[in-house]
Amino acid sequence: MTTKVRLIDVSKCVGCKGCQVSCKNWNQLPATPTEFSGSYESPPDLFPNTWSRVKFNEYADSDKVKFYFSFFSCMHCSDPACLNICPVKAISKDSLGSVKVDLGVCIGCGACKGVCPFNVPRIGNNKMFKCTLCSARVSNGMASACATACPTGAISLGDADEKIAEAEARVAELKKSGFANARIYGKDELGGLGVVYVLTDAPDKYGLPAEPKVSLADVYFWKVALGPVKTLATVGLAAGALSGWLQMRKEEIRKEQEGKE
Amino acid sequence: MTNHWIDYKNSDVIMNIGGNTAENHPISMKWVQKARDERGAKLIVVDPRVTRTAAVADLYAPIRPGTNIAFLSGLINYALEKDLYHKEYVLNYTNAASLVNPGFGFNDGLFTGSKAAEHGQYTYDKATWAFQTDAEGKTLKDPTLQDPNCVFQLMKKHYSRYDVKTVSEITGCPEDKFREVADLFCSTGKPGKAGNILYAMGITQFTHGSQGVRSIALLQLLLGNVGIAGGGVNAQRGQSNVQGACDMGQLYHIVTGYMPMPADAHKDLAGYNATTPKAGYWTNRPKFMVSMLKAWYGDKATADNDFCFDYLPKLDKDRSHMAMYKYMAQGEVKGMFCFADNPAVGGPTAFRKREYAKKLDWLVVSDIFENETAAFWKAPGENPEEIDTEVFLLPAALHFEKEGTITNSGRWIQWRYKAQEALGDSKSDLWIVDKLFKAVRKAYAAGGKFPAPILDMVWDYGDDADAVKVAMEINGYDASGALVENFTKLADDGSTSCGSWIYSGFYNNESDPASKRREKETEGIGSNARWSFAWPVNRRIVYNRCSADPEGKPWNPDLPVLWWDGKEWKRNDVPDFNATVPPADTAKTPFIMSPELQARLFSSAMAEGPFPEHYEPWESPVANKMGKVQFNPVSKVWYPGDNAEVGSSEFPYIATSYRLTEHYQSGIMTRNMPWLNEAMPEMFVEISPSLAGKIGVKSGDKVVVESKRAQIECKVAVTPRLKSLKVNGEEKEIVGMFFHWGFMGLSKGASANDLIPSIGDANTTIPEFKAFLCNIRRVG
Repeated sequence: MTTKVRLIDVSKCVGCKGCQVSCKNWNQLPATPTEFSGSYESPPDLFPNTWSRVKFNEYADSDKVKFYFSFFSCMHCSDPACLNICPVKAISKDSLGSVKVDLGVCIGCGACKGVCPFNVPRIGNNKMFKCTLCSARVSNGMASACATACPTGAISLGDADEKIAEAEARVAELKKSGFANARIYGKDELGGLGVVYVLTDAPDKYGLPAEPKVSLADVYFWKVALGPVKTLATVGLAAGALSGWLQMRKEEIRKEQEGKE
Repeated sequence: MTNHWIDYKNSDVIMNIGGNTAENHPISMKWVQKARDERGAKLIVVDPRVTRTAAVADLYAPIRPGTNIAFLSGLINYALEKDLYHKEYVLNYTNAASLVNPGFGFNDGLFTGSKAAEHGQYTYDKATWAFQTDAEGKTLKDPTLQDPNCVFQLMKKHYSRYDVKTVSEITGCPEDKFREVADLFCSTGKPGKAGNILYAMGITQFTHGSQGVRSIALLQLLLGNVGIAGGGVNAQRGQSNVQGACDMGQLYHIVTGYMPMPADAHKDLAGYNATTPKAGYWTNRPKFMVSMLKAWYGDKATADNDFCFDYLPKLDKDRSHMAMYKYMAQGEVKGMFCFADNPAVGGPTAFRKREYAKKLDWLVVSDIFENETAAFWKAPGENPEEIDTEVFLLPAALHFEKEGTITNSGRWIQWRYKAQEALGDSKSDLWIVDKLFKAVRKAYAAGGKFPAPILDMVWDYGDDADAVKVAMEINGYDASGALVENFTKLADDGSTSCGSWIYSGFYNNESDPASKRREKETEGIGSNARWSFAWPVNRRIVYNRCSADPEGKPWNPDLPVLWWDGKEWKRNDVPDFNATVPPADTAKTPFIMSPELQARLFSSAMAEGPFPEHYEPWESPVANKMGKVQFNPVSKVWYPGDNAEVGSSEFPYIATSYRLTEHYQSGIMTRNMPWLNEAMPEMFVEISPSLAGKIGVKSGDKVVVESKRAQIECKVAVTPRLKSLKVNGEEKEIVGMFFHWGFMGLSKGASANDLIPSIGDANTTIPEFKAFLCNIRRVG
């Protein structure tokens, strides 16, 4: 199977939250009690039982009020920092491009959350939870729950090349119809994300980091913090401790991926 | 709707006014988006605030709640003055050329024939609202449209008062924004272009709501947007099956298929039939009435006994919602059934619904959860010991748990199967009504006042009523006892039966009933003729003769609904005219339901006058700029003095109410759903940053909102999506509120409808939910 990309075209999004609720429904995630936050955005953040949500932003420009909606969930990075840092190899990337966590292996250490440039992973009951890109659905030829629920086609899932071409064409169209700030997001960021956005304005206006980065300081912190875990893990998993395990894991994963294809 | 949801994809310009398509009908945005993707269609949103629909619109224009008619009249005037209307269409398909009685006129807010009545209101003698006729009674016409008494010239004169400046001062919509809207929407007046107006309760729920709808119709007729693909007057119904409820005669003034409810004045069937229109398709009404009576009373209904016409209850006085509650307050109404309705939250002046329920001896509520209407006796502050009403709560099955039909806004009668068994003891409405009827009949069998209508009623749906049997009765049977093909086969001699004539054909055979069909169209204009059944006779776009010019050539050859190929009519839809004759024979008669056979730009049917006129809501911050009459002169005032005075300083802000995507109606389905409560947890009101500054609040603070009738407490959202509007030169603030909350369910909150006045439209009595006055202040 080829790698999939989830395309989020915010210019078609009407903020109905069908994706958010459908995600909960498919994954049978219980509701978290919330309070009125001052806007339509709710819940206010991702939680162990909230893997996706719609961000709402409003801006009053001189002549126009802008009311922006953006689906937000795991970006399924092509080179996931979470996967690289995980000391117990609980995180993997499958052939669809879904970054998944093996809950049987995960020890809930939170390193993934610490290094994620989008602050997506959430820890609950000593396990990490986040969007799976509905890999069970997608590997069976269905769309993700969020894309299935979307009434306007703002969320869609497809082969990476096709979706990126579609996004580029859409951006060109939007620019032509007056959205000077229209742009694609996620195609080049961090070497390419598994989620590509068509934006009509700057990313930060939609609550997305303008230049997402994997912070070396975070990585260093977690490397040190995870020292004992790492030792235990490597002792338990393989003979002979290795130094620079982060690089090694990366290499392993690369090989694993190659082996699958 | 004249058209249907999927047909949105055929529009060039879509105007959403008095509706919020993305939030309240989100799935339909798929078709709006398709029109934009594939046709480059433009979306206009006219609304008091930037809604989620406005967020994706190409053009947004603000409007003061309660001023739709001024806005739409401005557009009508713009089209007329700038010559943007569709001339050939107007001349041939409307009554623009008809000559009106020279005595007709309009002066200072009143049409001719007014007479003062109680509470400062008026009644009308409509004698002058009539056409000039020749000796044979035929309407005189001037096809040059130049006669000063022709409809077209009267219309021009009436609407000339709605110039851009005046409209802007009334509505608060800046002049340049209004012009942008006018230019874009009136661009669809060009032959071949399709303009679509989507509306909902933001048009209808006013004391002048019906005339708001009529204004939309007039604008669409002028622009040639009725009867064409991608056009139409499209009411987006707020509940999935409310169209079906109306079709089946659930309103107090009609029986099935929009036949008027028999009244005291109709002493017998002949008396009722004497009110049958003298021309147009409605001349067939006696066939539909007799067939309905045959469906209800079967063999007992004979020509000799007037087909049991005497069995029908007769309308004795106003039996509308507000009237019934007034009678309840006065002790006249002793008992009430409330099926899937929650007036204690959803009704106007909702606290009074809870108050008046105490006067009832008994109340039966059937719903999927215990709602506020059923629980009025334990509302906060109530002492159950002091309330004697006996309340019965019947657990109802959810729509997924029962079989039957749902009729959508596009008139598609779609069969639905049961997806799962109902929980616990909950039962379908059909089961409940069936058992109830059988019990009532058993009781009447032992005697009672006038038992015949109960004892003689046809009720042969089986031990546990079968929805299919009900469907077949509604479809009707012919003289041989076979399912009747459609209503064209119905007769007035008692040989046929039909529960609701407009539905006839939806279930006319048992092996492949149209209502159960599910075939998607692969080519065509999106009619999807083999997907369910649209009333009437599976017609997807009504008045579709107007989609082609008088010679039968489609105005838009790319989206032909019907077209004459020189020998015969070709079709993408079921013709709404006689398609067995050449186009010239139907070129002047495309509106078969109207006695004139043409669309009525001028009509005496409305209570307020032949043309819509702007009147202020019952509660308004300003005097009516258009004339001396402040508000709808023929609205019935149920509670004199229950309104804030014009320009009240005690209640200085304009208030309006609306819905959220995350919750539904009075909230009973959704406030008991944790996922939806998570997505929208609490009741709040919305105000502008400038009003927030004035009263000293920020988002999340608690406020008290007060009207002349009640006050509520909730949180506030301060948002730039609401702005004060310049009305008659003065900045006026708007407070927007959601009406989903009540004191029951998993998410509880204040009910905005407590604040609403009990005043309604003069034609329909629909309450004025969408514009009133309030004050708002910070708590603490």
